Amino acid sequence: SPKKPYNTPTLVEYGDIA
Amino acid sequence: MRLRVAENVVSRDLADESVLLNLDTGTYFGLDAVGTRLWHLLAEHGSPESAIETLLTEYDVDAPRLQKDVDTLIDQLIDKKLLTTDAARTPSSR
Repeated sequence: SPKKPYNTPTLVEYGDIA
Repeated sequence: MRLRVAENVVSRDLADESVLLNLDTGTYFGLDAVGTRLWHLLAEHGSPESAIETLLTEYDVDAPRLQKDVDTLIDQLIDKKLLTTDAARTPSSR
C-alpha cells in the first residue's frame, strides 16, 4: 500500500501567547 | 517509558498540522504533519515504540532514521513541557 512521503517531524516555537 | 500530554497543554489541529499551547508557560508551538501524527499517537498510547511501529507502516521512511527523529522530537516536547514521562510512577501510586 502506498506510503506517505516522510519529512523530519519539526516542532516550531512561535512564542508567547500574550 | 510511558509518555502523556502534560497538564494544561491544549492542542488544535489545523489541516494536517497542529498548534500546541502550554497554558502554564504561555508559549505556543506548531507541529508539522508528521509531528502531528506522532503527537496523536503518543497522546493515544503513550508508547514511543508503538508510535514508531505505526509510523513505519504509514510513511516512506527507514526505521533507524525514524527512531532518531522520534527520539529528538520527544526530547524537545519534554523539554518544552508539552509531554511528561510516567517513568518514575507506578500504577499503584494513583
